[in-house]
Amino acid sequence: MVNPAVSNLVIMLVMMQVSKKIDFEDSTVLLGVRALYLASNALIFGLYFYTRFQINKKNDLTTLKYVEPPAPMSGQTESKLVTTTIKEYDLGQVTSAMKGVFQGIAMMAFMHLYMKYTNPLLIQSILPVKSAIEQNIVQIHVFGKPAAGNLKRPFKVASMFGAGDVKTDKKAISEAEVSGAGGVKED
Amino acid sequence: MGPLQRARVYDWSKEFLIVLSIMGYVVLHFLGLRVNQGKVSSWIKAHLDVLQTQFYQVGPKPNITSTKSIDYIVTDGATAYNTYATGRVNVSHVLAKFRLLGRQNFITLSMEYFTSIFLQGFNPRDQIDVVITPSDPAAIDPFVFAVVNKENMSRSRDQNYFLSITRTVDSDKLPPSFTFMTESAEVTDTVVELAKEFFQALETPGVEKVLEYFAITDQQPTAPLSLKDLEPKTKLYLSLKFPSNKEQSELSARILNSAINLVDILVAKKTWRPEVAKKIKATRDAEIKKVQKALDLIKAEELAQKKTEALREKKAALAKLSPEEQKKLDQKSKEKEQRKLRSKQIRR
Repeated sequence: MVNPAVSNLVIMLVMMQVSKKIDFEDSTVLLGVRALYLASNALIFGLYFYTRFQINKKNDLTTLKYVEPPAPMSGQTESKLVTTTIKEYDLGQVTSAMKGVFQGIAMMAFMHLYMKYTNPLLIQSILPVKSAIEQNIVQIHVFGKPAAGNLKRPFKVASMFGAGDVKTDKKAISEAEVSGAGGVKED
Repeated sequence: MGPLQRARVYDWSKEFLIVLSIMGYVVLHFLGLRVNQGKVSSWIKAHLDVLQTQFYQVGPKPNITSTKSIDYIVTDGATAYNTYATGRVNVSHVLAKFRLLGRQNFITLSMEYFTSIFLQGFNPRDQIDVVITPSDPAAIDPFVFAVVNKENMSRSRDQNYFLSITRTVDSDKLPPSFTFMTESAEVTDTVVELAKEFFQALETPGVEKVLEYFAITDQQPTAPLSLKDLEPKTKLYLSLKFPSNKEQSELSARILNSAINLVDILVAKKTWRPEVAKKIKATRDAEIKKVQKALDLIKAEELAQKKTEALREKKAALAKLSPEEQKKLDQKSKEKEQRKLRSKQIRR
């Protein structure tokens, strides 16, 4: 399997060349590209809703414990234990993935409707679909890949600010579990 | 044109629309309010038998003979309702708090729903919290034990301080949708042995639709801020969901009944083995240390602030003096310092 970042770059470069050849001034082409973009987003949401449906159907209530490092720039200093179920974790993953798609759409709407760029529509019809298919959660529930190796929960997240990794070893969990971190009233 | 003629010619369609939407809003408001009140009323109806056989007084006043459930409720706004029961051996009182979705305002309701899609962990829902307070909260040995619905267990742990000092342990003594949160294996075994009635009710199918968690705890739900917050006072917390059919209502009443009966059993319970008691105490001592540390830090900060303020005041007073006096004071302090230095040198 090729590194997704590398293949993304290749697709982007190829598509940029392709989109140079396309006449976006032509109204039928424009309509086609817009339809393609909408269709690709419909596909993505269909994929996520199907994943969510699968998760709810499987209803896997296996306990999942992991120690989350403090969020970068949040002022927190202590890492926190999360006690959850596979189902709840997976649903959370779908929600955050969908949030990402909405952000992409908002960005695109601004670029296309306000700034009048049409080129990115083409690339943005392909890349998000690719990354949606590559999502761990989709790989597990739609393509039936076993949740092991790279797909073992909790999923590894590449972090930008050098935040610590999610820990799953027994010692870390045992230490964080009875830390008395609950019941903090936020106001 | 007279005013009447003008009114006849004027295009009233906008005003008509406005009045219609206001009326629609008002109607929806009352519908939503009715839904909330109906939910609480039917809960009271389903649990009134249990409460009335267990307690002398049910509702805010003694001797309510009414059959209307609204008379047993204290309304605290469209989303907050309470009921209360007292007058029983071993139990001081039971307080049931109902916190419902803001159905009376469909605009905020739909906004809440919309944000809940995007904001993970923000998931507004109806909540019933029943707190059973024993007459002598110190009569029961301190410990924390809970049976928690796995569906929302991360939130339960986040919102309740007492759950966050326990360990989560799955067990085949429970239905697969529930888990134990307990301080030690022996605590679990003892409570399972004692709370037979509760665990029997837990075997009923569909229990995960009724029970969020049941906890026996000497610690409070909110994070402790003072040492007083950490004093052991055993209470029983029952977090329930609104039942959606008759079987669920009956099950919910059964669970409530078993929780109230458990107080008698807990009061009569033998004390823990020394090893278990020691472990439980160690957890609390560690928490006391943490709170003490935080308190000390606050105190030190206050002291530092006072010091800087005093210094600032002194400077301000100095600035008010005439130049000659300032000079005098300056010289005095200089002499003082020099004397200090000299004495140090001599000592060497």
